Amino acid sequence: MTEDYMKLKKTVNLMSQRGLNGLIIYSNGAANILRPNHLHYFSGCRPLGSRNAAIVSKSGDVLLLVTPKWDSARTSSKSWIKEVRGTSAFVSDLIKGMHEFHLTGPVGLAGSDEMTTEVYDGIKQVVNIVRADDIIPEMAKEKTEKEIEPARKAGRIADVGYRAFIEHARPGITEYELLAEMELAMRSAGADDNFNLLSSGNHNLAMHSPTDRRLAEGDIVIGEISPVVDGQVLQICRTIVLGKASPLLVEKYEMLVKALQESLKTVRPGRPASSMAIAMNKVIGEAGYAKYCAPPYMRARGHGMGVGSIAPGGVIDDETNAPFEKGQVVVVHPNQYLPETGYLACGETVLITDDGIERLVESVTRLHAKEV
Amino acid sequence: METLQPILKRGRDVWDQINMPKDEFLRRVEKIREEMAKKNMDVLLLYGTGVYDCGNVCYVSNYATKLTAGILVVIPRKGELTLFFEGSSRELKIGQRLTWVDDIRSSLAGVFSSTGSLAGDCIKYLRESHLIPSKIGFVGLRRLMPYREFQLFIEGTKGCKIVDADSIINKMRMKKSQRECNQIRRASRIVSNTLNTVPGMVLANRDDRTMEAKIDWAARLQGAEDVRILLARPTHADWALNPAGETPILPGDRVMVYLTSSFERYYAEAVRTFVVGDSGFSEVKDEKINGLYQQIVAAIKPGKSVSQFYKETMDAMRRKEAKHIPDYGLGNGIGLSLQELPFFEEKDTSRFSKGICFVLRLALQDQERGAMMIGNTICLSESGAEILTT
Repeated sequence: MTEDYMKLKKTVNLMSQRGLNGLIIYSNGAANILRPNHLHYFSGCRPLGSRNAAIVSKSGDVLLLVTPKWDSARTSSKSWIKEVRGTSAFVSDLIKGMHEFHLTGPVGLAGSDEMTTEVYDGIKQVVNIVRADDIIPEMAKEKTEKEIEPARKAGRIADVGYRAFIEHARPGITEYELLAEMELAMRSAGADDNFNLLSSGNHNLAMHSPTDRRLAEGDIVIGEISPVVDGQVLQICRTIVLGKASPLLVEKYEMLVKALQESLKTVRPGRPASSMAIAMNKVIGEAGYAKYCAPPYMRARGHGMGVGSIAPGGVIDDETNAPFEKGQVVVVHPNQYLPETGYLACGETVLITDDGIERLVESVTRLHAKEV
Repeated sequence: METLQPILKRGRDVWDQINMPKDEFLRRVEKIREEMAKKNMDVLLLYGTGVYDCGNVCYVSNYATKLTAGILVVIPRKGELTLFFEGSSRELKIGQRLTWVDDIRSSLAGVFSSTGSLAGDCIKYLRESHLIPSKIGFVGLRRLMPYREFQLFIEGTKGCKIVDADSIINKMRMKKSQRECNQIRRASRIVSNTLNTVPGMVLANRDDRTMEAKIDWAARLQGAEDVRILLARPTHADWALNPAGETPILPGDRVMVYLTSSFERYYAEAVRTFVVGDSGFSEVKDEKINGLYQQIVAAIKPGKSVSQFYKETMDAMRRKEAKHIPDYGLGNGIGLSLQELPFFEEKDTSRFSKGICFVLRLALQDQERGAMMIGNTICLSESGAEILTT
C-alpha cells in the first residue's frame, strides 16, 4: 500500500468521522514557515499559481485544479493525483468539479485562511462549508521516513549555508551580497527555496531582510539559515563576530548556548512543549535577563516546521500545552536581545525520535570569531 | 506572469529616498484624497498581502512585507495615515525604516497568531478614530483578503457605506511617474545584465537547479529584491515553464529562461532562450520571431486602445503565418506588482499612454524549431515604445 494511498484513505476516514460529504483543500500558492501548507502536503506538489484546490469525495475520488492553466503538466508529473486540470476559470471549474463529485450538504474546507471572498462566495452557493483546517495537520502529525528525508537533506544544506556564511562574511561585503553568496551555495546543494534573515553591526536589534550595509571589523553578524527542501524548512541560527570576540560577548553567547543545551534536554516525546521554553527562560532569567524573555526582545523560543503540520505549534512558549511527539521537526532557539550585546542568534533544529532527539545538522552552535 | 511564490523575499531591502522620495508618496496621497473628496468618501482602506500582491499598499507607503502576511493602510480624508502589518512588535523598527508613514502598528495576526486579527485591529482603530459610521472605500480587500477577515470587516463596519474603490488606485498606478519609470528601468537593467551572464556561466553541475542558483545569485549581487525564475525545454512537445528541478542540461538542449526581478519594489521581466554548446550557452536569436516582435513593438503608440493593439498583433501573426501560443499571455502592465493593468486581451478597454510600463511576450510554435518566446519590459513615452530589457 503506497504512502499516497494511505494519505487518501486517512483523509476519507477523517471526513467520515466528521460527517463530511467531501473536502476541499485550498491553496493560494503561498508557502509559509509558520503555517501548514495543506495542499502541498496532500498532493505532493507545491502549488504555483494563486488559486488551487483538491476536491475529495467521500468515496475517495480526487480532482486537483491548478492555476495557471499551463502548470497542469508539472503538477501531473509531481502529484500522485491522477485527475489534474489546469484552469483559467477557477471558481466555475471548482463548482463544476464539486457537481461532478455530487457534493452536497456539509463539505469540509482545509486551507481556509488562504481562501478569498470570491472563491468562498462561489462554493457556499453549492454546499454547506465546514471549516476543516485541522484535518491535514492531524494526518501529517505522523511522519514517514520518506517525509523525514527532506528534513535530513535540509540539515545538510543548512551546514553548507553556514560554511558559506563563515567564508563570505568579511569587512566590505554588503549584507545583501553575503546572503546572495550563502544562497548560491545552498541552492546549488539542492535547496528549492530559502528563508534566510540576517543582521550586522555592533548592536543588532533583530534579524531582517538584507540591507546594503557593509560589514565592518568588529561586527556581530547574526543569521537565520533556513533552507527548504520539498516544502520542509529547517533552521539554524548562527552568530559570527568579525575579529576577536570581546570577553563580554563570549560570556553572553555561552549563556545562550547553555540555555539551548538545557532546553534541548526537555525535548522528549510526551513532554509538554512548554517545558522547553521554561528550561530556556530559566537559564536566561537566572543570568539576570528575565525581563528580556518576552517580546520585543525575542519572538518565540522555538516552533515546529513541516509541510502538513507545524506541531507542536508556530510559537513555543511557556504556555504551549501541546506535547512533543515522535517525528516532529522542531527548531529550538534562544535568539535573544541582550542590552550589552544586542540581538544574538543561537539555535538548531532537531527531529524528535522514540526516546529523545536527533540533531539534523553537523555544525555546532557556538560563537564563531572570524579572523579579519 | 504567475510564478512560484518564494517563502520569503530575500534580496536587498532598502528604501533609497533619492530614487523615491517622500514627496512622491505625498503627491499620490494628495491625489487619492482628491478622488475621495469627489466620491464623498471619508476613509480609504488599502489591503495587500506579502508575496502575492502588496502593490496598492506599497504605492502609498513604500512598505512591503517580505512574508506571506497581510498589510493594511488607512487613509482618512484628513490627518495621518496608519499602517497595520501582520507581524510581531520586534519588526516595528525594521518597518519604520521602509516607510514614511509614522503611525505603523504590528498586528499579531495571520500566521503569527491564531487568535489575532488584522481586520479586528483595524476596526478597533476606526472606532477609536470616530471613522465608524462613515463612507469607506475598499481597495484590494474583496480580491485579496482571506474571506473570514473580510467578513469581520463587513460585520465591524455595519452602519457604514462601503464602496469598492479599486479603480481610484488602478488608474493612478497604470500611468507611471518619471521616478517610477526610472525604478523599472533599474529593475530592467538587473534583468538584462543577469541574462547576459548566462552565456559565460560556468555550472558546477549541469542541471536546472544549478543554473537557477547562478541566475538568482547574479541578480541578487546587483541588488535585486525579489527574483523569480522559470525554465523550459521549448523543443519538447509537452514543454512548459517550470520552477527549476533536477533536469540535466545536455549539449544541444534549448533552455528557455523566464526571469523577473524587482529593485526597490519595482519589477521587470524578460524571456530569453539559450542553446547549450560544448563550451557553454549561447543565446538563440531567431530572425523570424525577432522581426515580428520589433514590428509589434513599433505599433504601440500613445492613444491606441489595448484591444485594438491585441487585434492588430493577432493579425500580424496570421499574416506571417506564425502560430501563436496563448498560454502565457501576450502581456500586461508591470510595476509594483508582477501583473498590473492593462492586460493585453481583446476585451481590455484601456488605452496606451505615456508612462505605461508593460511586459510584451511573444510565444510562437514553429514546426521545425519548436516553441519560441521573447519577452521584454517596455516603457512607453511620447516618442514610442522603448524596450528596457535589451
